[in-house]
Parts: sequence; C-alpha cells; structure tokens
Amino acid sequence: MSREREGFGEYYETVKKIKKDPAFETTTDHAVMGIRRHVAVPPGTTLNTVTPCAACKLLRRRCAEECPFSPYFSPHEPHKFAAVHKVFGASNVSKMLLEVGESQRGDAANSLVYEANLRLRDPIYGCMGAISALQHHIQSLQSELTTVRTEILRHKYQEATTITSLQNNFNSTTTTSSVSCDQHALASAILLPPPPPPPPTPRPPRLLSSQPAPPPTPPVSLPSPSMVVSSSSSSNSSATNSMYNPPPSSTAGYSNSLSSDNNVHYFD
Amino acid sequence: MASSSTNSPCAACKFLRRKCQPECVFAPYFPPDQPQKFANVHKVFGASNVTKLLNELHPSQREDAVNSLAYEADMRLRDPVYGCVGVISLLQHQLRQLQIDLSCAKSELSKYQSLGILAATHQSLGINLLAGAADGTATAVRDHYHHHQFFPREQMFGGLDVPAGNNYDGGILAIGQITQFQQPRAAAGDDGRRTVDPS
Repeated sequence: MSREREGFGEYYETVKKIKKDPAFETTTDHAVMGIRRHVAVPPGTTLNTVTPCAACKLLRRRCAEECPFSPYFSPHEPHKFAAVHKVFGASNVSKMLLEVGESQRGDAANSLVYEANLRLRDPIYGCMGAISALQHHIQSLQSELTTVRTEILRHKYQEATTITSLQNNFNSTTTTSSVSCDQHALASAILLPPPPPPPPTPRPPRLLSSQPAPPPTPPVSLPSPSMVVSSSSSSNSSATNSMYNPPPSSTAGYSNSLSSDNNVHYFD
Repeated sequence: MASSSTNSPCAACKFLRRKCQPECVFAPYFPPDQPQKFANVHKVFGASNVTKLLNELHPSQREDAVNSLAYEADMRLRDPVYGCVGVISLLQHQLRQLQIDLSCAKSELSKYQSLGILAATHQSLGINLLAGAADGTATAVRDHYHHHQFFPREQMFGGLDVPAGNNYDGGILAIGQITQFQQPRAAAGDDGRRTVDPS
C-alpha cells in the first residue's frame, strides 16, 4: 500500500513538472482527480530533465547522480534491469553492488543479469540446470577423448609390431635361402636319377607324425604349395632337423619362406 | 491457541519473526534446523520474490526450485562478483578445451586408419598371389615353386640381374641350375618308394 502511494506521488510530481500543454491537460486532470493512468511520455518533452537509467525508469523515481544502478543499467537496455528486478529485487541488487569494489561492479551487474535470465528461462533449476548440463557434456567428451586416444595407442603398437615382424622375416628369408641351397646341393649329389612322381594322398599324415614339436608362432600354410614343399622336405628330413629347428611342419616353414619372398619383393 | 503456540515455526518465519501459518509456502522446504539456508536465500533473492516464484510453480517442482535457489544464493555469497556464473564460465572454458583436444585426437586417428587401409591392401594382394598358386594344377604348382626358387638365389648372388637364359649359357653356373631343377623330382620319387615299402 505504502509503495503504491509512493509510486502515485512520484507519478504526480512527474506530471506536474511537464510543461503545461493542451495535449496533457486531460491527463493532469485525471491525476488530480485520483484516477491512476500511466501515459507514455513522448520523446522531446524530457529535454528539461536528465535521462533516467533503466532502473529508475522502471521504478518511476528520480535518477540521482549517486544512483547505484545508473553506471550498469543503461536506459537503452531496460530488459536487463527488469530481469534482475524480478528475480533479486531492486534493494537486494543495490546492496550486492555496493558490497563489491567499484572496479568489479560492472562484472557483478553482468553476472546478476545472466543469472536472472537463466532463472527466468528455467524457474526450477536456473543456473544449476546450466551447470549440470555443462558437466554432463564435459563428461561425455572426456569419455570420447579417452576412447580415441586408446585407439591411437593401439595403432602405434600395431605399427611397431609390424616393423619388427618384417625385420624378422627378412633375416629368416636370408637364413632359409642359405640352408635350402646347401640342402639342394647335397640332395642333387646323392639322388641323380629322376623317378616318376608319386600320388599325393599319404603325405599329410607322414608330415604330421614327423614333426611333433609345436612352434611359438605357426605361420599360415596353403594346401597345394604344401604338397610340393613336403616332398622336398621329406627327402631332406635328417639334414633339415640337424641344421635348424623348423616349426612342426616343414611345409609351414617353406610356406613362410615363400610368403617372405613375396613380401620382400612386393615392398621393394 | 495452545496447539498453535506449540507448533515450531519454519526457518523462514523464525527469521522473519512472524507466525508460521499452516499454508506457509516456505515451511516444507526450510525446516527449523536449517536457518542458514533461508538466510542465504533471503539475502540474495528476497523473501517476497521467492514467494512469488514458488507460487508460480507446481508444488511437485518447488523442492528442486528451492534447492537450486539455495545453491545459487550460497555461490553468490561466496563470490559476490561472479556467483554461480563464474562456475558456468569455468565449465564453458573446459568444454571448449576438450573440443579442441578431441578434434586433434580424431585427426591423428584418421591418419592411422588410412595407413591401415593401405596395409590391408598390401596383405590382400599378397594373399591373391598365394591363392592363384593354390588354384593352379599340380604341374602349374610345381612350375610356380620352381619360379620362386630363383628369388633366394638372386638374393645370395647380391641381387644379380642377369636373365635366366644367360644363366644356362654359363658353364659351372648352368650345371648348377640344371641340377637344381632335377632335385625336386628326385625327392618326390624317393618319397614314393618310402610310401610303397610299408604297404
């Protein structure tokens, strides 16, 4: 009630200050008669008064030089003060601004406007809702970043493993070539007549029985090349075993050699 | 009167020194044992503003609203300049930094994945060569095997680039090559004999 009276009084004083003009005569009469009407003051008629800040304009009061709001709430942005007025109340805003050092009041005013707008947009959660959403987003991105970085490390490990494997294959190829050449020479010296080729059926089980030891890394072998390789390894089984320890199947060893040759030449 | 006087007022009515009515909008959310909670909210938002705000909400939403108001009031009192907006600003900065880091990591990963595709292509070509050999007939397989035998020798000879034809023209070298050709057949024959003996 008292506030309403004050408002009315302020309004009445404002009207009295305006130069008398026929256009406002009726308004003045209404004010005197006690009828509450808010008539917009047309531009140009306020030339005799200082332009009030957004706060004083909203509160309909005189904007003094020491007004705590005027430096931070321009009359051109009335919505800013309207927001903080509704959420915090003018007196609370005034107190909060005065509690802060003068050099920081601009930031304080802006943060109050930001907070008030969030509260008006989301009356239930306000700032807390924005904070919660940001935290979830950060958590999600952090999880995705961890996944991508793990994948990168996996590729780096594979790259290192491949390089090591290629080096081993190259060394193995050289050694195998040397041994193979020597064996071929010995075989040719002993077995000169060329007998007819035998049927391929009984070779696989014989190879399996002759090579019981399991290898640490068995290479991939193909059936047809294995048959050809198996005949050669069978004739040289003793020499082969004495010279080096092949994987359980000489076929696999030869197949690996062939693969190595392919890899070396291909990459060249 | 007696029953009314025995009721404990809520923290809000106690703070405001007024009688706590049964329909008090603050009572469910500001119990007497949490006076600081209301004091903070009152100082930052004002009791009348909070009353209006709560009355505009559905009763089932008021508890969350009060808790968020209490949090914001607490933050505002801790940091009068920025309040909870300071927290938001910090989180936005962290978010932006994470987006940059994630963009860089994805760019690096795409490089490895493109290299992986090239490696897969190499392996595929290698497999095709072997598969072609496997698909051939027995004779073709043997010829293929003979063909491969030249590679190790070339390596042993220090990458000799002399064509195969020229090799046969050389005296000792030619004899060696011919012997190499006969060796597989001899081995095959020997293997055949061993197979016949058990039967």
